[in-house]
Amino acid sequence: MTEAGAILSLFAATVLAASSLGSSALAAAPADAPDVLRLYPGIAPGSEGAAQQEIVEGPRVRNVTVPTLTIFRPATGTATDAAVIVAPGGGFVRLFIDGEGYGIAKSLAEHGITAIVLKYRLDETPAAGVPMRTTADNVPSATSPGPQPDRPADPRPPPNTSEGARQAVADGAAAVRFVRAHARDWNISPQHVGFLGFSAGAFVAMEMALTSDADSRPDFVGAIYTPRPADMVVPANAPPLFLAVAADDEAVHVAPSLQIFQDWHAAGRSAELHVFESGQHGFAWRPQQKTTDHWFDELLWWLTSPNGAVKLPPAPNGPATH
Amino acid sequence: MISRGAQLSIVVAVWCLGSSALPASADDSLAGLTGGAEVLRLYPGAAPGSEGATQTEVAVGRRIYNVTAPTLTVFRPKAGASTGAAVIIAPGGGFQRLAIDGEGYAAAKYLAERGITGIVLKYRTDATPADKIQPGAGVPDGALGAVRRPASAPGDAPTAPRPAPNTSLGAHQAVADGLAAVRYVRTHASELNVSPHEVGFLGFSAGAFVAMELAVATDADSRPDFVGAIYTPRPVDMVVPGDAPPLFLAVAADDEAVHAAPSLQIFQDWRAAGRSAELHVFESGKHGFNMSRQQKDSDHWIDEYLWWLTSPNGAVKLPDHGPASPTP
Repeated sequence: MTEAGAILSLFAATVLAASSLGSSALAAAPADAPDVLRLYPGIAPGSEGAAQQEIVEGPRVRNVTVPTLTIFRPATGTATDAAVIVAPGGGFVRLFIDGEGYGIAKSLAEHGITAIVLKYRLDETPAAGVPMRTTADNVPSATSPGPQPDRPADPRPPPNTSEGARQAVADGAAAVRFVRAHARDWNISPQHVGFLGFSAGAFVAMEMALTSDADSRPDFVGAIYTPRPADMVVPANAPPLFLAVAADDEAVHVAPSLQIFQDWHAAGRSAELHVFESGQHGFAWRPQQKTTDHWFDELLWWLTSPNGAVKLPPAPNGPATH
Repeated sequence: MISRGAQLSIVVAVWCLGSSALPASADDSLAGLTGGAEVLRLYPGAAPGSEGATQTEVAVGRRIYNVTAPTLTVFRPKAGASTGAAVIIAPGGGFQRLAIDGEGYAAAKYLAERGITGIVLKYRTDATPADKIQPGAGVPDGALGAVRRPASAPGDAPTAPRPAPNTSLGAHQAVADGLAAVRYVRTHASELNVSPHEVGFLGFSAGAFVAMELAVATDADSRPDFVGAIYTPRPVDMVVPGDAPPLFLAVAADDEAVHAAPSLQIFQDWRAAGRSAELHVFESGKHGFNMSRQQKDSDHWIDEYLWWLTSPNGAVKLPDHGPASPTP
């Protein structure tokens, strides 16, 4: 076997291992497991020399070098022609792929939306493990320049420019192109491809929303507890944007979401912002008997309100939200 | 001191006199919208400062002009369904008029169906000459059409000029009526079957300005226990007290009357003071989305308001009775 072949086999084994472990975290999933597709036909560009092995730790995964898409399809007869790519958070050192990936995707599929969980590449972490509470875990470090109105004295880490963050963004762009290229296979429209990111995944979502490459730019974007890309410039054709964050978020804080909303608004583009009184960072997958429990309702309303900015066609059976 | 029965008789007598003196009584012409909800006068006699008022209250469509005798219209939950919470509702209308249904009765009925006593405050407005009162004239319901930035007022918005809070006589009287309404509901809590510690205030547009003035009031007796401000302007030189109540803000991004910026700024003011605030900015819905249905996500602000009011682990708004039921 050639060296390249050996590497491919190794990756395939890793993917299979991750897949089966991932399924165990999906106890409530339908019996038919979702399809898992490799994002790139060969080795991900830039990861040719990567030696780390992907590690699944319960609902989390780290040391991803082979990005994949996991497809959650709506039940027969309920599908719209819309798709949403879901990017979990984890500070570019891990992915909370169960809560901020599969769980969200299943909910979207229940509402007629083909949901695609993006397992994107990450910074390498020691095989022995990485502490849960690190700066990088909180993430996403990219923040706005200038004053932070809700925490004026708070020092912030510099914009995240790690290799993992760059590869994550590259994988996000590749995912949008991949989904559009396969739109016909999945009975979706290439003009109805959204991107929904959480924390570090929201950073990826924002980079997608800002890209000048129309092929990689989603048709609508949700960024949940997002940092703000440094020096971001809102393009004239920026997609409709949905922002949600808790007022007591101590990881990314609320200020970046407020600033991004204002940036979008100043550029004359459509944006919606929900700031919950409490719920902290990571509320999306954690019901807490707080108003944050309802962020998904608000996302669906934003996606489907007949007279809002157009993101989706009407569903055949509807999200039953109106 | 006169007996309470005598006081009540006086109130009733004054109310009857007031009614007979108003042949075009707004409350009469709008009675069909209230389902016979009980109407209480806010003050036992003439409202302080309105002793010499000569304008005549009139309802045009579902708007009321020239209010000089403020009232509370009480929408009670069904027997046994009350949570003990009360919300005083202040409609908008630029201190010129009141959008009394969409930003008053309709919201109160919605809350009452969910166990919350809804109390619509008909507050005093600036005098409008009869020839200026026209159905559907120019300004959308609830818009702050007459509000202008005073020449010397400090700006609250660095980026664009926008209306500043009104400093008219009507605005001052509206705030006085708001303060009096909170005290009234607390004083009469047992008759109203509500808790004096669960008295909220929900205002729209000009009514939201009243709500914000109450939220930052230094007099604890007049300060509501929780405050909602829907498409609100921002009071100039607002200072958030250290014990400011939990605040709920909602506005549409395409609001061209008060704009979204004051709501964003108020949210930041509240957080900078370490107080609890929630903010919803809808992608669209314009000014005055109130209880109407536009098939936009702004239709859902009242759901979000109820979730905010009743989430068990949120900031406490209903200390005496626990969360209200979010569904009827």
